[in-house]
Amino acid sequence: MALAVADLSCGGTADFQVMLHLRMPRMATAMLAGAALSLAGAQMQSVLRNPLADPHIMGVSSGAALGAAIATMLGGRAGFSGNTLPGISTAGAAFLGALAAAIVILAASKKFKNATTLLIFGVMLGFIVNAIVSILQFSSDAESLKLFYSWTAGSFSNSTWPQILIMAAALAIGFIISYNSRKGLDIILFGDEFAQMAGAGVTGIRLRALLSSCVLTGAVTAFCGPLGFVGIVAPHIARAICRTSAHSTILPASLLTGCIISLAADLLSQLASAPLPTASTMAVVGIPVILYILIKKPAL
Amino acid sequence: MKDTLINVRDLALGHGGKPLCSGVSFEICKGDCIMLCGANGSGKTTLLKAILTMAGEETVMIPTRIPKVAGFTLREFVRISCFTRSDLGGRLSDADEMSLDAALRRLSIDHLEDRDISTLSDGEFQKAGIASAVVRKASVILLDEPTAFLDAENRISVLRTLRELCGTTAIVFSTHDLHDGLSVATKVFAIGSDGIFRCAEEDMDKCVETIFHKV
Repeated sequence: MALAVADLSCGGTADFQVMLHLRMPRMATAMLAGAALSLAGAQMQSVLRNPLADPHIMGVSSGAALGAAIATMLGGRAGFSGNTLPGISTAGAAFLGALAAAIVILAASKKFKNATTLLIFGVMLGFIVNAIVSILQFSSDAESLKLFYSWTAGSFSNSTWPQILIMAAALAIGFIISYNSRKGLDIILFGDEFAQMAGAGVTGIRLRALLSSCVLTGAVTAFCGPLGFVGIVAPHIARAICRTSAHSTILPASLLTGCIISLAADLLSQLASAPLPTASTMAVVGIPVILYILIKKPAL
Repeated sequence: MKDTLINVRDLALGHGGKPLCSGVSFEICKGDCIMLCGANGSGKTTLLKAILTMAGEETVMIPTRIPKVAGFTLREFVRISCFTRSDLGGRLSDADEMSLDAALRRLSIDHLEDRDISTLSDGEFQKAGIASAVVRKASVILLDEPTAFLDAENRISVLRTLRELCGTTAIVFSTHDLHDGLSVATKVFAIGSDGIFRCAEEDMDKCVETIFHKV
């Protein structure tokens, strides 16, 4: 990166092209994706009162994967521009899949008032959707399987500037919705009953948080594939650094920590001679942190 | 002579379609410190929630077993509890901040205001909940098992606090600690094992007995 900047200042046009079309989009994507997923994770952890909740666990990312699988395998390769870049139709299908899973979660949140039951429902939803994806994979040809695999591996390298703009817009919308709901997110941590008795509209708070999470997750998953762990870990790091759980602080702080973690994970995955799948790097970095959280707070 | 705040006549209670208790009639007056007792599942919480639903905004209920979420100071917790009085960012007006100060002093928890609530004892946390009801200018405070899971020292301390608050407000608390409860109560509501609601100002012990035996 430093080398690229140095070359750029010397006026190398080829390097400028590399900067503009490869390095900068990739960095921007990594930062936006990390920020968006962490913001979604922070809200989901609060409304579900579960320290391990994030879009990945709640099945929203799985819904996106199903959308992508349907587009890739049933729709053939029509949706792909070029050989390896996932095209707009795959991305759009992933976005719709994420939305569909989120709508199921929204409906379930009305039925299951208990936060833990809803979380289990989310995990089960993920299992079912993943099983359908596996069935689709089983009955697909080798070529589309390969293409689909490269998408599910999670990557920041395929984004174009228009896609980045869409992600930035989603991040802005998601942040505005959540930040306006910050005092509701605070009080819901103390239980639905307590919040209701204090005069807070619990259903509204939960719906707003899930809607915001959907916008954030849908956009990211559509263009980068399903990415886990950053959404769980970043809010915890934000809480530890800021020494508070107040959402007026934690929402922007999660956004920033997510941004940094994601960028760091992406840089790490580029250190290897052949670039590693970003989702795997995030898992390797993220899971030890999650295990640490589990060991440190056994009561949760 | 007495200021009646809530007057209930012939209320029938049920939970999940199952009738629990009927013919419930009582008055809640200013200065009352009412102990509500009854076996588990007899309808204590249901009755408190019914009172909350029927009464106006000046009645505040503190549910039982509020989680002590780490990452909030006691002052922040009380502020969050005043949900309907704060602005979009959760900030209170200067006047409310001053009544918050006063409430913390009144409950003798002002020295704990910057402590993280996860480090408070259950009794201190319970008082924080009561403080929020005071800031919200409650004329009736309903507490669901405020002494559950408290050790003897905290139990006495919370009950004494309730008694002290009764001058300006009315308090209804449900409890299983009948002996300690009776020592501060001015009135008893008992849901008997026969499913009959009884209310007593004198002979409170006898009224309490009805939750154990068929009379």
